[in-house]
Amino acid sequence: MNTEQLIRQLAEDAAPVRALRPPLIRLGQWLLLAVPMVLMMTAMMVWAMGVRPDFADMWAQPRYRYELAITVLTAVSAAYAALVSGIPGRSLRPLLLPMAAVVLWLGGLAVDCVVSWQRDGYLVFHNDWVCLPAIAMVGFGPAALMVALTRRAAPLRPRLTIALTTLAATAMADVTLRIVHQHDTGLMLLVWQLGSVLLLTMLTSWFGRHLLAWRHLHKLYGTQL
Amino acid sequence: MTGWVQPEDRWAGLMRDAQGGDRVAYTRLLEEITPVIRRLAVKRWGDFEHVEDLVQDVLLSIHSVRHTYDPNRPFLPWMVVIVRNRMADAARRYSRQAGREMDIDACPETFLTVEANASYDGPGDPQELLRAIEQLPEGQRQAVEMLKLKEMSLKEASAATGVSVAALKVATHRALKALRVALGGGVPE
Repeated sequence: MNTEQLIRQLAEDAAPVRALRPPLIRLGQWLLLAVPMVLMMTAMMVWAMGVRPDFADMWAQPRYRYELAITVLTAVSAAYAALVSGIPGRSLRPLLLPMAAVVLWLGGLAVDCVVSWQRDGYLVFHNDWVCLPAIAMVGFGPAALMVALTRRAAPLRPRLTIALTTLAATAMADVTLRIVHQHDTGLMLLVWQLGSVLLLTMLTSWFGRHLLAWRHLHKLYGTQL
Repeated sequence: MTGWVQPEDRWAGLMRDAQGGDRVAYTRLLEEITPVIRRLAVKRWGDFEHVEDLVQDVLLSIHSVRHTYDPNRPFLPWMVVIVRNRMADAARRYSRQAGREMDIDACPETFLTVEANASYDGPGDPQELLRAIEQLPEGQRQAVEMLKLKEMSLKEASAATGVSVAALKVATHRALKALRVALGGGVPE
C-alpha cells in the first residue's frame, strides 16, 4: 500500500471521535472516583485496625497537617501531570508541580530527622516493611483508574506517565496510612512511607511501554507487540 | 512566516471537521500534511530508504490519537510532537534490529556433518502446513505467503502490501513460531 492509498483508507475509517476533555476535567473525574475508593479502603482499615490512638493529638500539630497537605498536593499534581503528559503539544511545565511537591515532602521529613537528632541525639528506626504492600493495595484502584484515563491519550512518554500515575495513587494511599498507622518519626516516614511511594513509582515506570502503546501498531502487525 | 500561519489555521479547521466525521476534510488534511511530515523525516534521517514507512507510521499515529487535538490550540505543535515521538521510536527500533541482523551474501549449502543432514526428513504433510498457514492472523499469513511461498524479497513484499520491512520481519518471525507450535515442532525456519 502506498501513502496515497493509506490516506484514502484512513479517511474511510474516519468515524466521528469524541474529543479528549481538558486535563482539569479529567482530573476531576479521577478524583470523583479515586477519592471514594481510598475512603472505602481507609474505612476498611479503620474497621480492622482502628484509627491511630494518637490521631487527635497529631491532628492538633501543624507538622502533621502540613505533611498530609503535601501528600495530597503530590497526589493531585502528579495526577494532573500524568494527564497532561499524554496530550501532544501541551507544555510540560505541570510536571514541575509534583517534583516540587516531592521535594517539599522529602525536605519536611529530612528537617524532622535533623530536629530529632539534635534534640535526642539518636533517630528511632525499626523494620516496618508492611507499609509497602499496604500502600500498593490502597493505591491499586486509583492507579488502575488513572491508567484507563491515560490510555485515551497519546502514549508519548509511557514510562513518565505511568511513573506519575503511580506517584499520584500511592501518595493518595499514603494519606490512609498516616490516619491508621502510628509511627511518626521522620526517618520511619522517610524510609517506609515516602520510600515505598518512590520505589513503587520507579518499579512501575518500567511497565510503561506495556501499558501505554500506540494502538494502531497492534492492528498493523496483526499481533501484540 | 505568514505562509506557515495560514495553512496551520486551515489544518486546525480541517482537523476539527475530521473529528466530527468529515471524510473529505480529513483526506485534504492528510494530503496537505504528508509532504510536511516527509520533509521532517528527510531532515532528521536524510534520504533514508524507509522514509515512506516513517511517513505512513506517523499518519497512522495521528489517526489513532486525532481525538487528542484541541481545535482551540495550534495544530502544528500538536502534529510535530507526534512526528518527533514516532521518529524517536523508529530510531530505537531500527538500531535494535541493526544490532541483531547480519548481511550474508549466500546461505551455506548444508551442514558438514553427516548426522546433521540425515536427521532432516522434509517439511512433513504440505496440506497440513497450508491448513496451519490459513489459521494464522491476517498480517502473519500474508507475510508467510509472500516471503516464504512466493519467495518475494522483503522490499517487494513491503511495496506490495504497504507494510514496513520491519513489520514484515516481525510478522514472519511470529508466524514461523506459531507454525512450529501448530505442526509440533517439525518445520524448520
